[in-house]
Amino acid sequence: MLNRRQFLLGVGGGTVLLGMGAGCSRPAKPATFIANPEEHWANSICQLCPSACGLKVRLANGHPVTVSGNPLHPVNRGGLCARGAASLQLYYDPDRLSGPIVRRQGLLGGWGPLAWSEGISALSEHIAKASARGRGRVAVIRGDNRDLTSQLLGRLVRASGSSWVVDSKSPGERAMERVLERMHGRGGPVVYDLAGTDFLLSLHSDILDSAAQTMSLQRAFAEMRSSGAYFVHAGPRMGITGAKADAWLPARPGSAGVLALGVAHMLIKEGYERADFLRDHCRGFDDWTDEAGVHHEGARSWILREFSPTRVAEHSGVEMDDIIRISRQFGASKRPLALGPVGAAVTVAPFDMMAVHVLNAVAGGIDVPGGVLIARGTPFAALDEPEKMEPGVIDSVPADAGVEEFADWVLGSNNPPIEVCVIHDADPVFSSENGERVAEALRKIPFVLSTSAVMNDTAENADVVLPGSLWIEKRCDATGMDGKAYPLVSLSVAAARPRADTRNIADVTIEVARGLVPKVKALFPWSGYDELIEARAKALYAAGVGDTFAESHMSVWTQLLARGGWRSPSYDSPRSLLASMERKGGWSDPAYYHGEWRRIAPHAGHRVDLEAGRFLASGVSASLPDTAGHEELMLNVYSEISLQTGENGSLPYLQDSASPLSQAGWTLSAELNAETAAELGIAHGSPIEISSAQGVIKAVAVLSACVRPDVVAVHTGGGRSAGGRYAAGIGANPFVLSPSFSHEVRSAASAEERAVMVSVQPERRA
Amino acid sequence: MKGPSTRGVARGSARKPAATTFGPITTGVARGAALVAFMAAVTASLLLCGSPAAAAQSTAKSSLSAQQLNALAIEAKDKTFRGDAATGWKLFREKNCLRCHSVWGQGGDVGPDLGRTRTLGHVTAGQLAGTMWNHVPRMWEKMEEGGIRLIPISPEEMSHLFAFLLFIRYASEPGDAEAGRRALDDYGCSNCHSTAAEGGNVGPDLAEWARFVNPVVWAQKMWTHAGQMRETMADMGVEWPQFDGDDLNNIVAYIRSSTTGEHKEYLEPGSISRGRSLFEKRGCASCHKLGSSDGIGPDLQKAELPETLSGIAARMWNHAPKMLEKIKERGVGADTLEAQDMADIITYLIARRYFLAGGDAKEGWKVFFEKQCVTCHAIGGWGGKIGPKLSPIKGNASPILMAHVMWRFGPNMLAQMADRGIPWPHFQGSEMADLIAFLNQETATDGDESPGQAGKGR
Repeated sequence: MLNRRQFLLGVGGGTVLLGMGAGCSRPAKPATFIANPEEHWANSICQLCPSACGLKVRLANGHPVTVSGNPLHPVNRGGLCARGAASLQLYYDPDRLSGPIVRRQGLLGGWGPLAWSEGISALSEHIAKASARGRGRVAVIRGDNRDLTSQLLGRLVRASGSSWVVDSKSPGERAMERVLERMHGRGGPVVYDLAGTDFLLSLHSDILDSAAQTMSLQRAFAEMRSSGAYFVHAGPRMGITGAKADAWLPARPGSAGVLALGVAHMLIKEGYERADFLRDHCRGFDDWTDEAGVHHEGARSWILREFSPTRVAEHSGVEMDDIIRISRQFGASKRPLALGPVGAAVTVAPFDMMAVHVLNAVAGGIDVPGGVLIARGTPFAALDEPEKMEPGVIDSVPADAGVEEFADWVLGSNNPPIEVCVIHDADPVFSSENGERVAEALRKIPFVLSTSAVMNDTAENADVVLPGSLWIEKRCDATGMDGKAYPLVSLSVAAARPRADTRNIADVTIEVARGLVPKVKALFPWSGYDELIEARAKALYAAGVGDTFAESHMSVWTQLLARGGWRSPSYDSPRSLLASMERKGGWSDPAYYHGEWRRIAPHAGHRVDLEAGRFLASGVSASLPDTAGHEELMLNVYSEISLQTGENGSLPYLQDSASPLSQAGWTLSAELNAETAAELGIAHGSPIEISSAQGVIKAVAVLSACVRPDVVAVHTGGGRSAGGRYAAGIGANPFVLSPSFSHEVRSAASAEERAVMVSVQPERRA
Repeated sequence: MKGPSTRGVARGSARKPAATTFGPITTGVARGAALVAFMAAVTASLLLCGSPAAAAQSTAKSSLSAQQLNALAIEAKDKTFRGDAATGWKLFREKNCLRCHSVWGQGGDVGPDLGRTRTLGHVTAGQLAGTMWNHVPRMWEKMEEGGIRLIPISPEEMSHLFAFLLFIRYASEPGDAEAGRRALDDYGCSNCHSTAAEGGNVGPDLAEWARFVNPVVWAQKMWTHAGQMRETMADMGVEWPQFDGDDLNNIVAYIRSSTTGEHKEYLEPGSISRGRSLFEKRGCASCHKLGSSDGIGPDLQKAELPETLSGIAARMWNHAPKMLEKIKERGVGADTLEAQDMADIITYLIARRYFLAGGDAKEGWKVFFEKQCVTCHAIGGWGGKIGPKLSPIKGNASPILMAHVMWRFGPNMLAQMADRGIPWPHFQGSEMADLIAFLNQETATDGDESPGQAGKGR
């Protein structure tokens, strides 16, 4: 085990700044000198990740000149991550699309300008024709459904008789969704109450490197550490997460689940399990016999039989003594919490998430302070909830269909064809593990429309691009939650005038829908986005809960009042609610009621089903590949806090800070253990090639003691083919090395089936 | 029983947002060591706001004239009725009280949780002020040692803090769901009512009311349907249940845990002024004479009552059959109270008990002498001249004033008293309320008879 000091010794002095900044000069524009520019601040919402932090944009004569965090916003409380701080660069990106474009037909190809009216008509006509031909022929690929624009697009697709509403959720989030459906009988999201725990066990979580909810997690982490909580991180590389931990356990890739159940084994064996919690709120822990007299093995017996420290040590590569010691510390803590691979960049095995959830159940850490909280929803339904819509039932669509399943469907020979696909707030061709297959699928669809403001990898495969206004240029919203699972709705004003011929895609979607057949039009009764916002404000007012954003102490006051059944909102009408939301940045309901088990586990019995979790465990008994003595290394793909999966690649600030630990920006850095590198003849900072059966990428070697000797760790975020001068051709995309897994393998329990073995060698000079 | 009504329940806001305001007070009875401990905690929280060194400096120059004291007294009396609990919470944080104390689990754990001190029984504003006096010398010492600056607290701020400390005592936290489940069984409620389809079917499924998270709403629902329930229960031979302690709160917690819990409806914090008005208009005053034993019902200002809104609501339920009978006899309209009306009325009653619990001026005269106030302060022509005369504050003395002057001028007083070998006063039970009553007595003016004579017979 390495501690922080050893880590710093390993890294110190060994890092080299590899910045290779591309020419970033912009053509100078004549400036008008203004002696006393009028300045003001406007609220906005960052939309560079799902957190949707509150922004305050400083404007000088209408020009955004600074961005800072909204101190009233519960998620970030005035703070900003690197992406938020860089967000203005997207507004001023010289390579933004200047307006709608259409792919030219004919030999010359390329792109030509398009009027907005023509683009909207084209989309309307294609949807009308496709839905007239049958169900399931219209699709949307979105980032998520946390804002009304995305929900409107989902509603449009469902109203057109299709269920193909595909969200690009993070791998960890998708895996957790499956676990919750099986073990709780409901979906997510979940919130990990870091601030309330006194022992955090990170099992490949990478929360400080790459988890999506950057600001709320960072704030909760800081609160946790200031309260003196102990923190252990297990994973193939130390990363920022391990560097800020009290201890790092160098565990093999894909071993999170096995480690979790190894700890659970020790808790049960030594009597640390929370018997009252397991008795009152779980089922399937003890063996039982059903009415037919059939004996069933409970989780207790299964865990005790399969996950002994000896076996787990062999499986995970973590020393047995460390497993036993950490388990005892975890079990003896008052409020222990385990985190699974929530920040993973590649597909997460549901088994891993299930095992970590089982560990939290054994430790009594679900729906308690410092544990796993099931987020409360906003008081109104999402616009695209299938129950509220005419069902467009396509039986073959997997319930958890992601982009890869969508591509499989499109490329399948016997399926009804997808004829129209809208892509909004997502770049799946770049960020998907099987991006080329997604591109192939898009090329097969007759009409693909992207709403991207920049020409990204996915937009390159579209027929029409209708560039949406950036968040800073429009009134926009976001629903979400803060670090305590409280629901919130952010609302912003249009802070700055659009720099290009863009429109609010919400207005565009409503316009398209209202031009379709009456039954579709009836589902879009709003004249535009503004009217929809007003309708939402009325619904929020009528719900009679929560209050608009306020200083943290007043939010706590609202929370204290709510806990006692009291409420004193700062508004007295829908209109004043809306005005207050715009002035303060949004609304939240800062109360969490523990013990609502019918909400937490809606399925029969209202208990966490530990038995159901076992379905995810097939294949865990297989051994991981033995890499000792082999030249091949295990590939560990992670995402960095700045670029994450790279949707923000066109922001030069983020490219420059792409790898904060190794200080290697504008390139792909590959972390290698120094001893391994010596055996391979690789020097620090030297160019290398990483190859698998699927492809080859080039990287720069970063040597340290903070990565397992049998692993090479590379980050996502580079290797785009488009995106402008600051993105295209920068770095490399490690997904090139990944095989194209089937849906069954992607959903399978075993990490070893998905393990990618690679060869690493010095770059061969031409 | 009909389905639940949402009238009177805060939805968005049925009314303009109202500050949680409270009225003036005094009285109390000694509650022993536990009360002293609570008050010490409160005092500590209020005093951890500034540095003793600065306090000494700031108070050294504080030679207070009688006129200045009178101006402060008038201001404090005026602000007493206007304390806002939300602002008090803000001050509680700004003055760093939360560094040591928590409120319902929020805050530090050095001192006790000030929202969880109900076992101490009824506490008045006068007792609060008295206990602050008792403990400040030790607090100043601690603050001096810690280099903590003394931040002034104005009369207005003090009124907000008093209002806040009252609110967190009477506004209940969520109850214990398991205890609520047991209570439903023990009281036989489950024989008639189901909860999420489990239980009896005579009355409605209680899960239908799960969205009402405030126990007062439940009390109002039961109050409204008490007549019908009584008849049904009589037919079935079931006795009217008598709730105790946190029963109602616990039952609400259990019902809520038995549903998905996604929808919730709240009440606005009670308004004293509305409560006062309703108490008269809805006929409560025709039976309950506050401060008098002449009414048909008990004097709600002096009667032994629970410390929380939910407790008082439960008490109303317990007495519902008898009360409703009287209400019907007298033809008053209190049988149709809305939930918000009930919250306002109960808040009014609690605030009266908190702020208006009067002291005994005769006992206050004794306190004035026994605590040696008379050595430095003159009243009615009697007493020392080191401190300002206290006669001018006649009619305006209040707990807020006593807490404010202690906080602002206390370090200087402490130094002067130490020089003269006078011990710092310690107020027990209702002594501070008695002293305030004495200071407010009408005949204590310069040149009049002795204060002792004035206090006699009152």
